[in-house]
Amino acid sequence: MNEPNLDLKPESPPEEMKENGAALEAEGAAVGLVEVIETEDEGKDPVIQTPLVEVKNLYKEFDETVAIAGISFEIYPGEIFGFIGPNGAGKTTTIKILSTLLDPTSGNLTIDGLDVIEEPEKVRRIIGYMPDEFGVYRGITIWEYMDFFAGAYRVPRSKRKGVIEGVLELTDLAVHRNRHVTTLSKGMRQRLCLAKTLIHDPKFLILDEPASAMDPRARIELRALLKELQTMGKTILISSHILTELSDVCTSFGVLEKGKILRSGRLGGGTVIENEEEKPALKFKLKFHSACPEAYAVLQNCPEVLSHQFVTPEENEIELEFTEDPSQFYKVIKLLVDRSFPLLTVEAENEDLERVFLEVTRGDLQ
Amino acid sequence: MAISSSLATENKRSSFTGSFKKLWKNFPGNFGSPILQKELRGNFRKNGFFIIHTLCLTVIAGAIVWGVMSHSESATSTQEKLTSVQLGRSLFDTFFVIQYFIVLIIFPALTATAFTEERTRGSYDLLLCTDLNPSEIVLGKLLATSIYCLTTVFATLPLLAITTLFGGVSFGEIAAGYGILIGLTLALSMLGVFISAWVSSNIMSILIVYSVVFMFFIYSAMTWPYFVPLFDFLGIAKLEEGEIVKTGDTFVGMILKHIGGGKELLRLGFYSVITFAYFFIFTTNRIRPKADDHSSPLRALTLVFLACLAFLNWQDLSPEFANHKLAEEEVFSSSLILFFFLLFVVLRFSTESLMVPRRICRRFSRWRGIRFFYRIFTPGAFWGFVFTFVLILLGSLSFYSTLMPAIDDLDSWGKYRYTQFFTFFPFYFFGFAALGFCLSAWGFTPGYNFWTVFFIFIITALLPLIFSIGQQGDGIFCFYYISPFTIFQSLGEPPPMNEKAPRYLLFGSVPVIVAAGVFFTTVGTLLTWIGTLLARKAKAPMLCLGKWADEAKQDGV
Repeated sequence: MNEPNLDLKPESPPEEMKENGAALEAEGAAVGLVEVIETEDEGKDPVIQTPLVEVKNLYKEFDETVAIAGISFEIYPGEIFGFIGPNGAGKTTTIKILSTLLDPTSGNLTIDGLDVIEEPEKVRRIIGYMPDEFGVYRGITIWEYMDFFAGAYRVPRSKRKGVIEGVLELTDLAVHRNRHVTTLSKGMRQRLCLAKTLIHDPKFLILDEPASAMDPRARIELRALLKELQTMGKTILISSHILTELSDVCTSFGVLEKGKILRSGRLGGGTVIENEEEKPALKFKLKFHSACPEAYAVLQNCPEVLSHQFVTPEENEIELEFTEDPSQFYKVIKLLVDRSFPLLTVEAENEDLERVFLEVTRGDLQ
Repeated sequence: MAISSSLATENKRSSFTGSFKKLWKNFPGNFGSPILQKELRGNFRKNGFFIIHTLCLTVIAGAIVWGVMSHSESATSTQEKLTSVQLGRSLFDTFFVIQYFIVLIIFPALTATAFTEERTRGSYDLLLCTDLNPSEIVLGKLLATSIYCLTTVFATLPLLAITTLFGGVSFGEIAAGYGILIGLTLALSMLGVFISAWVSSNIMSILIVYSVVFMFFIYSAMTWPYFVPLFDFLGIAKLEEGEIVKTGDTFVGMILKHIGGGKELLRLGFYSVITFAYFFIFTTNRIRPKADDHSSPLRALTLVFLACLAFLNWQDLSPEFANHKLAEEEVFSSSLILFFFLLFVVLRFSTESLMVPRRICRRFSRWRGIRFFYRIFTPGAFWGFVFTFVLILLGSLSFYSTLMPAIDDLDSWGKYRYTQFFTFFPFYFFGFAALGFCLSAWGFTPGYNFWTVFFIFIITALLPLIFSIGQQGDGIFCFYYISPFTIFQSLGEPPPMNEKAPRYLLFGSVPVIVAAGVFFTTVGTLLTWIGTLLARKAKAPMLCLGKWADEAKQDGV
């Protein structure tokens, strides 16, 4: 299962948790959801803004092969859009078209109001593209590599030093500035490429598998960096096979298969938000030490529980669904604990990226 | 945040000396584009660079030492001892022959990986995503490759200095020798960059460049006797049976004293510049993907039609040329001129680069008569035909108005030449206009940026100069002396007046040209229409006023 597991802590009374939602912030899905809901309540809903990226009816054909079959999506300013799909689904093709490296067969694409097909030169200035596979130049140092890209993006010479230093600090490469780029590990090269992508302060970042070669620590650092970039006002499109990586940082997603977007939506704390207007229902899975029909009977009589069912034939796992109000969930859990049922774990069962991905994609070879 | 704040830093002013120091400190960063800077850094830090340098110097130094040693040996033998001047001459020749072969053998491998290396390394996409335009990228690559190779060429200068100690060599000859090597290096660099832009693998690119160089080498070896006069012209002396034979002035003297006599060299120079520019432009247009308006099949149809027409016309006229090789060659030479001129004109007004504002397109689309065409044609094809027609009209009128009045003053041979020229003029115009469409459809069309405009301007500005030079003295048309026909065929006596000349004059008159223009445009239009219908039947996507045809139909365009 995904990360959002909530181990029950009987010593923490539900009332306190209700009063102080922030205490749970680091923990998991339910709290992440609250965070999103609060954000929306504060009137920061990105849906009301004009989209930064608009893709309409995008088609791309290579000879007889249809790589992209009429996809449309929008990305709003400040969003981190996760682009997921199996190999050959058309993610990289879409990304290359957005990056002005490929021409579409048809379709309309705009980034910050600029037509990607008509005004590629202007588009290049506002995007930062990081490909999934890339090489580095031989015989030059990290600093010289960055200096080349700063020049190539026409960063004024007088400001170049400061910009390069800033970006290297941001990506933790400052201490390695005089190392030759060919001596870097693959993970460090990815960080270098990310640093290069940021050199001209682009509004929109297009990251194709940015963490594919990174070690676990570097991945965690990348997630933190992406969030930091988001707070800096960057809009990010990120494609990755590692769904946990995306679900933690993305605010919206699109699932692509065989050149079509099968599903898209918004994410909050790793959970898919089904409906923008209504707060989503909460799903949990309770696991008991042994078969516990008594607990099931108690849950049947709880008005707070919208639905309930045994998951396993051993009758030791029960799936529950609550309304969007977390306090009802706390009440029920307290009830079970007070009655000393042998409760082992409580897992959030809300729809996450992994589940969505498995549901909508068929896993056929593309 | 760090980025934004550092971007906002104010630029500090500095004194003159400070600026100079800064300039020096940033060298070679100040020298050209970031690409050039990066390439120079990378290239000159390679071990291969020092190995190549050492190898070249060793080979040349070895040859010089061997030359001097063999001279010492010959002094003791029964052979006649060479004078100091003869030895110097001999070493000088050996030096440049070896340099020539070094350039031909080593440099292709150095130049042929300019872009393929980027592709195989995986940095090509990163490069294309930058704010650099294609011309900057190609120019940076070209300069970097040329500098890399020329460093090796000029590193041999001290060795050349040794040979000059023996005498028998002038400064002009050294300049001319190095001039040829520089020209050859630049040509190889451009060839390497061009091929590497089209091929994806390093090995393939190197093989193709070597093949092309080999073909050129064979060609130049075959035609070597024809280039000997060029040596005379350049003032380069030759060794013939042990004697120094030196005819003509030195290279520098020739340029300074007889600028008029240097027209062959100037022609050669222009020819090279034009070829160079073509390679450059085609390379720039290769490295960026270009939006295709899907009218290429239509243009291809037009091209085939016009090519057939031109071929048939040529066939009709060929029997009359059978006894007049000179005239045939002249027409061929003039066709070369027209090829370059018209191709540039057409590329200048190429369909994708017309950049006709949509506002104007929409205004046109409101007119009933034109709306019909807009529905059928792509905007590119429509404007292409409009421009072609206008160009034909204006070009014909200008040529006839300036040159036709002079025809009465010419002798019969002159009249024959001019009538041939004018007869073929519209056909070439159409043919190359169509070729221009075709090239633009295949993504050759130059994107408009500084360097493209610069090259087009320079070459267009130079063409009248070539004409004027070509018409001086005995010269009639430029490229006459360097066309392959003139190399392989000797010139005969001018033929007598062609009796059928009046027919050409009649055919070449302005009303007929206009009528021909209307006819060709109409036929081309019909073919385009048929092509469009076929494309629609095949459900090929079509652009119409910047929208896809189906959307445009819905909008009532």
